[in-house]
Amino acid sequence: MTTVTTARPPKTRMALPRAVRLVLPFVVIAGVWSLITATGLVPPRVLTPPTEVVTTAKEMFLNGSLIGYARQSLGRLLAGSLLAIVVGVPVGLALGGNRHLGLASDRFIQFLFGISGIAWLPLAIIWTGFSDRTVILVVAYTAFLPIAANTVQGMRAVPRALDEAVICMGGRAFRLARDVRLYGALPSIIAGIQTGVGYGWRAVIGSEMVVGLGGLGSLIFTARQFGAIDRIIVGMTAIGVIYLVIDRLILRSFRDLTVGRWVAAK
Amino acid sequence: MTSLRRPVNPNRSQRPVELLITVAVFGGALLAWWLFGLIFDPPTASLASPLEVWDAMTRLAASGELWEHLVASLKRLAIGIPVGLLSGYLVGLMVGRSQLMADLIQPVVALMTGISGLAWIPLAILWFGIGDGMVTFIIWNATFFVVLFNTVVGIQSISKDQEDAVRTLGGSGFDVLRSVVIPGAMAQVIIGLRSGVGFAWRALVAAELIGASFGLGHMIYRSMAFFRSDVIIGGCILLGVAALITDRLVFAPIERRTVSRWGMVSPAGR
Repeated sequence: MTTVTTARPPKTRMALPRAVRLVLPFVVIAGVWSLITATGLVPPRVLTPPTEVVTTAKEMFLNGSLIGYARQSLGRLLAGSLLAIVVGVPVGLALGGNRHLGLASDRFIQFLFGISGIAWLPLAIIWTGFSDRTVILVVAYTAFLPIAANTVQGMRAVPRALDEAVICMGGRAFRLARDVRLYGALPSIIAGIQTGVGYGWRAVIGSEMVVGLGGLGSLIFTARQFGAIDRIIVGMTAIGVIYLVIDRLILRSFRDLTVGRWVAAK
Repeated sequence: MTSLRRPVNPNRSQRPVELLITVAVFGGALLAWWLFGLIFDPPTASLASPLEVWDAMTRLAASGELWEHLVASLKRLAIGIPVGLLSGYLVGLMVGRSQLMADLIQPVVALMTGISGLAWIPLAILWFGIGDGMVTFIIWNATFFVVLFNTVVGIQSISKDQEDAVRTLGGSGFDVLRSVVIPGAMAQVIIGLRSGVGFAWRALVAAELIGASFGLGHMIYRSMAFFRSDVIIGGCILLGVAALITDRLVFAPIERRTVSRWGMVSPAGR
């Protein structure tokens, strides 16, 4: 056998320090952005310079208004997500418990997936008015779907052999449901919650724009009426950062601490 | 590649049963909705019955108004989605090959995914005014970053050995792109495509609800002012049906032809 040598040396992976990797792209964007606004190519009523956005951000943060808006939005997200978990997981467990029922619900859930929460918002407003309850209802609906769908899918993915093992050892229906189905589906359920909360966050922002009772969505939407681009961009950035904190820091570490360990042990 | 072909679906004989149950579920939901209306008799303004919804929708269809809204929405999607997909895919292909670029673009894309389509609406209204331009921009925005993100992830997941194998056999950079990078990333790209189109529909409805004078989203929103729950519910059902049709006619064939053929079963596959 002849040994094959690659013509070129293996590429060494250019590894940048984590901090640089995270900050550098935003520095580049801010640089390009200031260049665009500094040349006067784009009038300030279309795009304000980044320095002004930073000033506004600092001001809004220090006078507490930004935190106030964020707190309102987060409260609605929390209420809606909890409602979705409390309803979605049991519904998913019930549907996933039976093979035919699970298959049948697939299409229906897919159908509902096509109708975004925002589409139901007008109906929700007719039902509960321009209120917090309306926003929470829409968020709960939005988060419910991925949670229920993932629960069904997770239960379906549990190997039959595990069922049989428990039955062989004399396990009854309850042990089967808890030890095999629920624990087996848990990684998928938690993934569903992560997706659901992410979708729910978008629903919060969208509904707040229409319902308009404070919150970050309301902040950026009313800022539009005054043409306050700086306030809009501050609000958008807050929306993005809060999403990342929820998704990456809170939900992902929760997943790593719970089911992540099992997956790794497989 | 033939050895990687997916085994024949063992559940094929189940299909008629599955179809029957699916029809039963939709029928059951319809029946439950109708019975609920009969028993509790809610005002038409807050919950119209299936018959009232059917009446309202056929009337809208007959007057041509429904088609006007539908065409306006579809036109925006027809521009926004392809441009979003293509630009996201091309940028992904350019960026994903280099580890350095992928590392650099990841945080930006992550933040942008968090901001997503909806939060851009106020800024887009200021930039493009109310109407087609703004809605199309939102749709592009909602699809672009999802597709970009998934393309980069897909390319990064390709094993280096495969590229080396093509190189060892004398393949050029183009060969690597054609027979390693594009098929290797395809499963993930299709996942991005699927969620991209899903996000696009959501973004479309929200954008039309807030800032357009035509389109399904606007039709639903305007009905609220007149307490026409029949039109709202009818519009929502239309959206759901559109999603089912898109999945059946667009995604199922694409997946059959690409992902399953290459032996990769997508998580969303059924």
